[in-house]
Amino acid sequence: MAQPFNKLHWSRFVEYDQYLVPDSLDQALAMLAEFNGSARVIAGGTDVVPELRGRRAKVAALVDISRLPDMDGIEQEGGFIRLGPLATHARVAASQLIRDKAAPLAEGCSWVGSPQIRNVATVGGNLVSGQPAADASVPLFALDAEVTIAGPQGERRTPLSDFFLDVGKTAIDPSREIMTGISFPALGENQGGCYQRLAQRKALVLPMLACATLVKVDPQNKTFAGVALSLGPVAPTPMRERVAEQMLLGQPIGKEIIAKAAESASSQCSPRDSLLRGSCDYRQAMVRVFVERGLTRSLALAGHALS
Amino acid sequence: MSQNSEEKRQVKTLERERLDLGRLVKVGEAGLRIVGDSVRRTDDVLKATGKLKYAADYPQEGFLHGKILRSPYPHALIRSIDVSKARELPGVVCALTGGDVPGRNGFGAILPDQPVICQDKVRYIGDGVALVAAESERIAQKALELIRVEYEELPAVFDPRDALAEGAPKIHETGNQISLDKLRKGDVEAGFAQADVILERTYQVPFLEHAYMEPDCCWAIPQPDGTMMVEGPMQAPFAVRRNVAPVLGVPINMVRARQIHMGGGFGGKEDSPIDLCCRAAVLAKHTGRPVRISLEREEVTLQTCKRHPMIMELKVGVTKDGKLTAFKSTVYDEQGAYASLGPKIPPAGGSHVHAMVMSPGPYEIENCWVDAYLCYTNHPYGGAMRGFGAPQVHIAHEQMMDELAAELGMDPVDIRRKNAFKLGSKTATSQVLDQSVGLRETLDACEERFGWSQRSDSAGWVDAAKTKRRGVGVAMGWYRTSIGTGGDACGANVHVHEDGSVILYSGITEMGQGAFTVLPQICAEALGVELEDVRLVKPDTDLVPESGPTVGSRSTTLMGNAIILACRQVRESLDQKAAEMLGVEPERLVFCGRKVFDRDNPDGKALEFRQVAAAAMASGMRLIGQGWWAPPKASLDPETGQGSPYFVYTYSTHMAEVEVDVQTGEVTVTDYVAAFDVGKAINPKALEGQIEGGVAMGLGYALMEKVVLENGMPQNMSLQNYLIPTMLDMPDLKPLVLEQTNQHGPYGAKGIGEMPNIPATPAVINAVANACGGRVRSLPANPEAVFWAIRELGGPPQD
Repeated sequence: MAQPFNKLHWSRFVEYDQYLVPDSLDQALAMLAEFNGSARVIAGGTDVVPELRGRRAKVAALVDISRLPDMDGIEQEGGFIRLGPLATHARVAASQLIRDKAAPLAEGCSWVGSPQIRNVATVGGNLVSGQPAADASVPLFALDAEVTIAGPQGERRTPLSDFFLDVGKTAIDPSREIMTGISFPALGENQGGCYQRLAQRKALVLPMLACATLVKVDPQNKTFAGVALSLGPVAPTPMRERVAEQMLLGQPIGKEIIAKAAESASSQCSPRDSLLRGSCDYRQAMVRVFVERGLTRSLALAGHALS
Repeated sequence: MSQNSEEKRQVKTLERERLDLGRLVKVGEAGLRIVGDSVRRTDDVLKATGKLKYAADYPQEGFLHGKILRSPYPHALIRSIDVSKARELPGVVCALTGGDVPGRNGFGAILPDQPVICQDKVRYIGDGVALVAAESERIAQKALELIRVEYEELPAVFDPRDALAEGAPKIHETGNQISLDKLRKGDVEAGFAQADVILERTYQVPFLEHAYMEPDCCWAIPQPDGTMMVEGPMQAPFAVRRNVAPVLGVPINMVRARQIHMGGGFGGKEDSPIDLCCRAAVLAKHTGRPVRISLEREEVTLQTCKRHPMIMELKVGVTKDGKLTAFKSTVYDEQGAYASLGPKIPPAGGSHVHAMVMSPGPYEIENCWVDAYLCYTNHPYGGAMRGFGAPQVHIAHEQMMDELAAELGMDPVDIRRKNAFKLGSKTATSQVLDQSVGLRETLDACEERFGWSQRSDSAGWVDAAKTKRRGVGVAMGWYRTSIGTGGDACGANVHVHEDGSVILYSGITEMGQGAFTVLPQICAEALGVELEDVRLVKPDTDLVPESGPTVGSRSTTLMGNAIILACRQVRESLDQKAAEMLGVEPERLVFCGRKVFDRDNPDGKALEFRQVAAAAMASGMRLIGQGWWAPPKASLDPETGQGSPYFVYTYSTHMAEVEVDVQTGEVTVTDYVAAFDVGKAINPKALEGQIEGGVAMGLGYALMEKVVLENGMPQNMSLQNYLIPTMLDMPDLKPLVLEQTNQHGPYGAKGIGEMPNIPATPAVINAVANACGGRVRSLPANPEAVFWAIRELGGPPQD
């Protein structure tokens, strides 16, 4: 079988015709509308630029939204945390608020790329790129995040459960729409969560497996009052382990039920055999280990360590 | 990596006998001033301030841009090529096919078996079938898309054992087997008969990418007098010239090769600049204009050489008290599509023969038997990579030593001590090691610094939850200095000026290893001037004497000797003149720190070095010296593999501590000690840098590195997926430097460039096996491989 031309011949050039820098959201949307699908939003650029290298993707214009006002906040509003999509991974990872009230997200963000990449790559971009192993997306999915999307028809809100469609494909059209907000409930008392990751070296590497775990404990009955398990890359998109979550919900906390849930999570997912990121069998076995470890650690963080 | 390197570095002198002067070096009576001092490297400031120019930083005005159309098939006949559409594209200056090569359509570091432009068939994905030169890189790229090639696909071979099978598709006319090299010492069957334990194991290693930071970039500039000048980052300018000349069909003196400062080479840039310079020169010849070819990272992975993969089947016998009695091994050494640096240059040059010679390890074994096959496949080709065949075979014998020790219930350190080379040992080629053998001393030093016995006692579970186990590993190694060919010589010129300043002309290249610091140090020491008095002329085949390639850990030793001989020639003039001026016998003169004085009257009258130089010049005396040094003759019987292939060896022991997550297979290297017998550390700090980098490479080989190939196509072409260790993967490394004087080396030195990465891989793998019980015999030991190795045992040890 012949290898495709663009796998054998590479270029250092990032190809586009125009680079536009709007001052306001309305202006940005108007620019996108004008190009009618042939423009592309760029923020940190750490995903877009490699994709455009050597015309691997073709765009007429890049619309740089990194200077839009009020798009990079990290703040709490009532029981919710509101993240501006332009917040960088470095800032989110270092934010005391996120570390206290959304620990899995802080941990996930701290794993993305290298310090240089984390300093420019945005959390909004991590979501829009729609990669199944994205280190910010997997924890945001567990946190039940919802995103706000601005487009030609105005604003809409989409929960992440409806957002990830396929590898590299999400509910947002980056040639016409712009993500304007990310929000999710802040973790409170009796809640705990963590993020784990399996990789072939200690930094600057895509994960073979990523797992975000959240629990809420009913302190009276010592039962699971809430559970969220999100995994990647075990499917074309980040994945919630709903069956395993349901198995735990309302149940008394214990090692046995955790082991059962981990087993269920493992059998529910079917990662593909990858020459670079491990076999299906191995990664299924790792899902079991990670779910078990994640739930155990989350319970401890919620103040209810398993005895 | 090491926060307090001053404290950690321990330079210990084991033995400092007076050097055998012979044809070599005379240590100054006043002792060494510059040699042995950790002077700052001459390129440090330029690199740290970003002022140093690498090839890609050079201006490109006036250059045409060359591009290579690559084969999409691993093995196919070329039915036709149509470049007419490409030629018509505005901005394209030429588009060439195989018939357009003016001279020999083939290049190669040893055999010219790789076409500059493939004419009849392609042998790997990435083989060049057409060349284009255009006014811009974009136009050249577009032109490639317009070239139409009709191929007829042939069955491809991807396993060396398949390549050797009868009826296998023939990759080259000469057949798939490049050579079967044999080593025969003693009677291996008799040796097995004496053994109490015999183990048979197969070890396997994959293709590795060098992952030098700087992707390749070379250019060719036609000169008005008809000379072709080629420039780029290159480890072997003379080998480049030797290839470009016949490809252009001109004599060697019509090609000039100049080295641009390299951003890493590790052996890879011995080979790739030959490829790029030949192709750029052909384009430059056709267009009459300068042509530049620059590769992207992915193209480096596709096109350039790799570390040879090997399958090594070992059978080793040992008595119950741990004495090795017989070593038998069959090695399948995969060359890939082209010969590159694999085949033999008699008597003992080329990576394959080197691997064979080293394969029984640094141990006394009476009976050895090795069959080593080197064969073509339709994969990318194997070339030189830091260790040149030695890392692979060390991975086999050092794991085998641990497996034997486990079988005997012996400590891995003890079995090594029982068999390790010492002064007077006979190697597997029956070479008698008659000087500079510090192997056992490295083991002792390592054992003490690492605390082997306490640590191996405390191996086992790390945490109460029983998820992690700790373990320790040891590995020994040896590595030659020089390349074992007939013509392994080095030349240097030294020019002393009337103001006492010096120009040193050397063809040894700088790739980050520190040659441009260490060689001037030797020159300054030998002349008795200061380091800043010496300016080095960078490798340029028009200016410097032939020095051979910068490979084989040979530079400091061979070039160091050549420099000393050159200095000695100049010193003849200076000695004569200074003797006259001081009125003493020349033998009593000391040249030191820009002063010349009477050894027997050091507080008496002293001359300035520059005074003597000026006076010598005014008298018409010779102030240019030339040194030419070749190591003692190499020998290796082609039938039995017996002889003295390399004149001296560097020795080393490494110890590693690791933690293994037994549920996931993840490995963390937590501590590391590496000891070396280097003869003499010319610049201890630069040496330490070599050690740290080498251990990092060895650790990558152990745990993560592999060019993943599917039907001949690399799947991890960029550094996003081809993983090498980061700072966070590195342990706190403690280097120990020992000095067992090499009588044939400048100031007693021997090579160090390649040694550090060789034992590192098996030391880590042995530590992993010690920690979790699972042994990964096919590298890398990535988390999944470790996980399955533990599974195979039925789980980790429970103690």
